[in-house]
Formats: sequence, C-alpha cells, structure tokens
Amino acid sequence: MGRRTRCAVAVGVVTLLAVFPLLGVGPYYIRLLNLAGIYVILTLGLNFCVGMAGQISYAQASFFGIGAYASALLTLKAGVSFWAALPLSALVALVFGVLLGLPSLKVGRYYLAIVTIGFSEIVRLVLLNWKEVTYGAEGVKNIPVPTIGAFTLNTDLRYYYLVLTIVLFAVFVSIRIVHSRIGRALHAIRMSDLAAEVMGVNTRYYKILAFALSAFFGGLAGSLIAHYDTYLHANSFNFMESAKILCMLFIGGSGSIEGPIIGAVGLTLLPEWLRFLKDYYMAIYGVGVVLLMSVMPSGIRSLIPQLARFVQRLFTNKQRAVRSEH
Amino acid sequence: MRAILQAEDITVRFGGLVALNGINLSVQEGQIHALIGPNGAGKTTLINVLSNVTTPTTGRVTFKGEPITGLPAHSATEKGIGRTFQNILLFAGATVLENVMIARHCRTKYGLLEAIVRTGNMLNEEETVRQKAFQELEFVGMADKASTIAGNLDHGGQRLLEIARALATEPSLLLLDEPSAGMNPQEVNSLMDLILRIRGRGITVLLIEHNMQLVMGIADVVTVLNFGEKIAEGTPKEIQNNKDVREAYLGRGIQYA
Repeated sequence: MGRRTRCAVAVGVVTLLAVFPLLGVGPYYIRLLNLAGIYVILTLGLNFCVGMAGQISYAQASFFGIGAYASALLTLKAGVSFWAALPLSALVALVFGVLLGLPSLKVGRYYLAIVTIGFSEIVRLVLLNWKEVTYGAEGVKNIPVPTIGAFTLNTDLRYYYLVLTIVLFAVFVSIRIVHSRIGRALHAIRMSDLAAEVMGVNTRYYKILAFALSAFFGGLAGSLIAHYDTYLHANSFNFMESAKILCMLFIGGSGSIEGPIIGAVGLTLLPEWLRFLKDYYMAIYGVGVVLLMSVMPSGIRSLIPQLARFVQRLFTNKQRAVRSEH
Repeated sequence: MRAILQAEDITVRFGGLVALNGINLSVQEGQIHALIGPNGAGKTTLINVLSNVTTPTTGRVTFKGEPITGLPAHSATEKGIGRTFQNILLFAGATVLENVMIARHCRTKYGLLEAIVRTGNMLNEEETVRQKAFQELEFVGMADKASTIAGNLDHGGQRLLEIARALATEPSLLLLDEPSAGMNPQEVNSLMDLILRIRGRGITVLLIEHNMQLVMGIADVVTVLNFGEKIAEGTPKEIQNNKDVREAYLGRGIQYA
C-alpha cells in the first residue's frame, strides 16, 4: 500500500468509528464499545512486553489498577483535574512498570511469569488493605466524571469519544514504535536475547522500556475506567483480569498491531453475543479458545492475508467475467 | 604495525573446569588472524571473552588502547567489535533485510519521542539504515534474497547472512567463529575471497577455523590453543612445521623400544 492509500484508509476508518455510534446504536452497545476500547489500550500495551519483546507478564491488570487508583485518588484527594490526572496516572503506572522490569533482567521466561504473578498479588493486596489511602475494601466511590468547561462527559456516547481519542493515540504510538529502531530492537530481543545484545542492542534498557510502555498504556486505560465507572474496587484488578488481557493478545495475534485490536474487541463483544447460552457459556467459550489456539497459533490475525487474497480473487474473477461477456 | 586488540593473562573458569588458562593474545591491525585447535581447546570461549559475552575470571582485554573487560556486549559492538556465532544465531523469523537492519541499531541514535513524532532526523537515519543494510547484503552477494525469511535460507546462506549482519555494525575488528562450518568446497572458496575483501575494507579479522585449506590460504598469523593454553603462534608455515601442534592434533607417536 502506498502512503496515499494508507492515509485514505486511516481517515476512512476514523470517520467510520466517529459516526458509527450516532447511527442509532443503543447505550448498552456503546458501553460495550467503550469497554472494548479500554481493553484495546490494555492489550496494545501488553503487546510491547509480551508480543514484541517476548517477556511474559501477568501484571497488566495491576498497571490497569495502579492507573485507575492513581487517577481516582489524584482527582478526589488532591483536586487535580481529570485532564492532568490522565497522563499523571499513566506516568505513575510507568514507574511501577520500570520496577517490574528490573527482575526481567535476571530471570527467564517461566520464572518471570511467576514474578509478575507475585507482583500483581502484592499490588492487589496493597490496594485492598491500605485503608488510609485507598479506602480499602470499601473501594473508591464518587470518582468525578471528566468535564470540558461546562460540558460533562456523563453519557456513554460522550465518553465514547474520549475513549476513541485515547485508542487512536495508542494505535498511533504503537505503529510508530513498531516501525522504528526501537521496534526492531524489541523484536530482536524476543527472537534471540544474545544475538540482539551482540548486534549492539542494549537489551537491559529495552526490556525495561518494554515494561514501562506496557505499564504506561495500562495506566491510561486505568484512568479511563476509573472516571467512566466512577467506582473502583481492588479485586477487579486480579490475576484473572491479567489472564484475560493475555488471552485477548494471543487470540488476536501477538506482536502485531491489528492482532491486539481484534482480540480485545472480539473478546469483549463475544461474551455478550453468547449470552443466550446461559449456563453453558463458560464451557463453550473455553472450548472455543482452546480450538482457536490449536488451529491458529498465531491468532485470528493470520486470517487477514487469506481474507485479502479471497477478496482479490473475487475481484479478479468478476473482472474476467465482465471481460468475457464483451 | 599496531595491535588493535590485546588480551592479557585471560583465565576463564566454569566451576572446576579451566576453559582458558592465562592466555595472551595480540591481534595486529589489518591482519587476518586465525585461531585453531582441537575441539574443546577454548577457542569459542576466547571469542566470547573478546566480544564481552563472557567475563573472564581474571585478565584484561584492551581494544584500541581502551580497556573493555566487564563492559556489556553491546558496548563492545558499539566500540567496533563485530562477531558471528558458531551455532548460527540469526533472527530466524525475520527477513534477511530485517536481520541486517537490526544490526544497524548501535549506529543510529534517535529516541522514542523522535520515533513517535517521526522527525526529519529519524527519517534520514532510517533511510541510511536501509541503504547500508542493502550495501552489506550486496557485499556478501545476497541482495536478491533480501525478503527471504532468514530461517528458510540454506546453511551457507545463513553463515553469509551472519557475516553481513556483523559487518552492518561497522566493526573495525571482526570475530568469525567457524565461518566455513557446513560449507561445500565452492562455498569455502568464495568465503576465502569474501574474508580477503573484508580485510580490504580495512577491517581486522580474527577467525576460528577447522578448515586448514582456508587457514593456510589466507591467514597472516595463526595461534594454536590446546586445553585452554596457547601452545604455538606464528605464520601458517611455521605452524605447519611445529612439533607441539602436530602432537595436539594427531597425538604423540608411540616410542618403540
């Protein structure tokens, strides 16, 4: 694709996303889309660490929680406006990301997974028990809704545009990083740590950077969920939540940009579409995940080239048919 | 002539095993220096020490008059020590071109924010990365395979790509760990020609080899290791006639009474 075509496609997609909720979509679906957007940010974040640099992390929900609590407490206790709290909470999460990145320099894959699980439990327990700061088991209530002057983002539709903006920012930043020396360095570390180092990549720095970027995106998503739900509880940011984000990443296709988006949106909407299955839902969902991962180990994303070829063939066949008619 | 690299009293112990014992090595600028010895002599360990992959138990390495012992491997690369691996370590899932582009990392400077904003400086550097990567592929004769997945190359191709990738880091000293392993005679011939052309670019070459035709054909100096110790050093001719070297490779003759 040339530069022009890519620009045109991007403008088209953004316009479609901006107009879509105005076409009579109910608030329930818009809420789902908002949640999907927040998970896209989380999954794109985790993609830096797991997908690109190959460092396994079960801590993405912790950064989600740290960002959410930081943003809620900054606005409630320090009187900071949401617009300042959003980047600040992402930076707070980033600091914790750097901290979690440090053990990745010493321990390898499976052990690192255990370390990140430990980290996520510690974060959850601190949020749950540090009553003086986090309100403990009561959770944080009455988190202020963002406002722009007199305009309050108090409906699902209004919040949709805020989420969409941050999603577009996350996608943009991800694309730019993938196509740079930084993206190449992260990919190199995943493929061979030693070869990357010998080719001149400071692997220590880039591993920590990967965790920092994951955490930064996690923090942004956290701030968005805090001021959307206006209520937080530490137990929402548990190990299962991290596992869900990892699922989204692998089912969509890790290491790419489109994969995390497909995975996050798919796994947010699918449970709603499968609601008619009632009690069997979890079983069928579980079997589905297992089947999908065994048939398509590199994720749903691997269907895209096939789909593109199919469309192309349809198109050329049609042209041929038209030509033969003449 | 000036020594580009000097290793003094290098000892490496892995637990109770002494892999290298008090090795002194001096590599002269502009030469092709071969490192030979039977299996297990410590050749690869020495290359690992010189490229800072392994930190020696004792001893120090000086590169261009600057001590480099204890620095991380990527700093050694940045200072101009490039290397290949005996057990090929390519980025197998990436294309041939991407492999070489990754190696340009330490010759580019732009940071995270510049990458996101895509400044003019960033675009210029990326253009150079692409050009230089292509140049190195052309140099080793692989430009036509730029978009092949590295893991799908044949064995000889993978060895050449390792060399192209190491060259892309702009080394002044290139360490080659058994570059001819698994190559057929024609491939070895063109490899010899390639190594001479690398030296022609002003790059000093230190190579581990088992192929004596290659060593005797192009090396200026040969160092022989056995059981972690240096047992001989000299021109290829001198080494061929050295009694200790013969014993190391073939064993001592039986003395009949």
